[in-house]
Amino acid sequence: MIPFLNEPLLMFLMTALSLILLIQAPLSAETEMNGFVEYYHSFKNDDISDFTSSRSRFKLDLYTPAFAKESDLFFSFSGLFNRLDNQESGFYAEEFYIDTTFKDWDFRIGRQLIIWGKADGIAISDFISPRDMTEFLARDYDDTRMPVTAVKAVHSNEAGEMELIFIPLYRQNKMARPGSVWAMSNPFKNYNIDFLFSGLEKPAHNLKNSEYAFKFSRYLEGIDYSLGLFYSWEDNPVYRRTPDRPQNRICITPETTRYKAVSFECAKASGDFVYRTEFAYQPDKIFLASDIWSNRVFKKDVLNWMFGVDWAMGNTWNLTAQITDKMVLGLNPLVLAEEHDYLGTLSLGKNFWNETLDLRLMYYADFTYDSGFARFSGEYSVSDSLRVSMGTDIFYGSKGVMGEFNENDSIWIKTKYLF
Amino acid sequence: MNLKKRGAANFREYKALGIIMGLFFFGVFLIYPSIGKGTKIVKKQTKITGKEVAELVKNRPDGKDRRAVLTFTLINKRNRKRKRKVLSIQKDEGDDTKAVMCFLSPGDVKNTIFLQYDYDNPKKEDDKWLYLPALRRVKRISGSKKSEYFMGTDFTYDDLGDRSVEEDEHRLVGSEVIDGHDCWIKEAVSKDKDYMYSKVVSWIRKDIHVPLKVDFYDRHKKLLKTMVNEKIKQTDGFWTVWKMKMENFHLKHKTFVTYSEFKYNQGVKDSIFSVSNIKKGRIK
Repeated sequence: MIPFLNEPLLMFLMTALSLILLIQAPLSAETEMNGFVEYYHSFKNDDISDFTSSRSRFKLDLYTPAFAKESDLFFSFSGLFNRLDNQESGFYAEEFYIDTTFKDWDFRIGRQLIIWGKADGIAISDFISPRDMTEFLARDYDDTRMPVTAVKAVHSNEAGEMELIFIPLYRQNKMARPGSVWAMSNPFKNYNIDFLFSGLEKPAHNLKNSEYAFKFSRYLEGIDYSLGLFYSWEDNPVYRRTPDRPQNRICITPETTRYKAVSFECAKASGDFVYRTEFAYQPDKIFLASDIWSNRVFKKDVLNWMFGVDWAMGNTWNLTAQITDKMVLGLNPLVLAEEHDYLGTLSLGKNFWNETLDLRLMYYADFTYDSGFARFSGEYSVSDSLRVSMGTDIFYGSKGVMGEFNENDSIWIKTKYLF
Repeated sequence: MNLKKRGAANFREYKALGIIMGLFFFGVFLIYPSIGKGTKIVKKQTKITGKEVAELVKNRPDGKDRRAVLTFTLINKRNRKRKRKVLSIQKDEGDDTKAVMCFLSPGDVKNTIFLQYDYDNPKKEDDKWLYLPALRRVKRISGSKKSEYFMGTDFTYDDLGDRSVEEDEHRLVGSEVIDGHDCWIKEAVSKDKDYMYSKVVSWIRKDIHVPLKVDFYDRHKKLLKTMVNEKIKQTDGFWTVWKMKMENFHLKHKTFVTYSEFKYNQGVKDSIFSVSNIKKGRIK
């Protein structure tokens, strides 16, 4: 369908078109502009000269009536100066879409963030927008989503809300570069084997390789629920092995694989509590063999679930707790996977002085690998536009995703000016 | 008694009866104009009750829908000011009310949107959702925490909402003239013993059924805060509060609410009050 379109060309077209529309669009009272400028620095607890992150960022969002009736144009543009990784620095056209209405349908066409799920800080059915993992949990979870190019159509009436999504351009997770303090360690470092890595071949951009999603939601008295279907590509590739035992060598070829999932999400309010649950069932997920010399792959079904509760405790205290598991069904010892991957999250917060000061504890616990992450932070509103925050991040354990960054305990400070 | 005498006796009886009947009907005709439709029946005078006053306030005409732009000005004890500008749209569905509030400024809360279905039945929990622009998500939030303060102001959700008359015991404690307006003084005590206010005393204008002043007492029966409706005027035929002040004496904090726009009966569509709509991130 779009054989000629790729990311760089899309970026150029978006930037050019948005500049034209910005100049021509009437900057009337209906035009809205907002954004922020942010400075963020974090350094290791035991060495303040050792920065784990240092960046300056600005973001500009613009909403303006578009050329068509009942249509609006949204444009989001950001700039980043990363002192630790100059290659990350630059200007980015983040989102660019048109909102329009036709009969009972609302359309959003263009590059946009699409967020599913009821979980906080973890992805169960939130699998549409990929993630920027270049700074792992050092960035707020909700700040790591990356927009996708899509056509989203929503129809809502008393029976419910139906959402249809078509994503012609596949986009993957963005990982930290090798050498970054946030780069995942080499999983093969303990093997006395030569590994040869091939480049990743991404799926060609055509209709057959596009992604599709469907969701039906209802918002009733006291309860919301949704059912979703997603036909997509995995955000992380599978690293297929081609062993050459006589040469003591293994060729690693990253391969993007298809991802199919059925999801269910639900939130129910009861008194001071809101109970949330989410399920995502993924059939035929591809796993590698546990034997490093095996080139076999296995298809196993995976059930990802979450139960959570939000408690409005009163007197400006609030608590959120969640437990999740990623279950690999029908697992056997030949497969390189854990049968369960339990994770718990806790967030406890309170605000003071008519919501000018917010103190918060956030905690992730990986029960499978006995590792975790804790953040204690405070944010103060100096004025309506200026916020200052400080905090400390603690990693513990030696295994699992969080144990990887055990040496990245840090103290951070952030100032944010919003307009 | 011979027949002649008997007849005379009967005549005298009939004559007496006739006189009595005549007097009766004469009397009836005399006072007839005073009876029935044309008669002003003198009823025994009854006093209005506190509950009736509460119902007058709640049922005061306020249109089928209301659209307003309001500014909250928050002032702390060091005289530091913060402002929040809000677009508020409400629509009545019988005794229930649907409302959407979208923050227009400042930047840190801009485009934060509350959606609320406020049910008059006190046994039915309100439905509330919150759209957070930074998260690009709609979250369902607890509908029961009406005692929580709204976005750092001195108003609780209950203060801003439409509290049901049945939730309190109402008592009329007197009358007073304030700024030239004759007011009922009504005391309300919540039937919920855990409610944040031990009592709420309102001065309500007798002519237009709008509170002029409201005192809120905490659970230790000390005066916690006072609300004053400083500017009331008719708009589109409805008595409307255009400026109010809430002063919290414990925290030494004040909130002024000033309306810059107020429109009634605009024919607001039901679709505005939907989760699907607030997910777009803007309210027009």
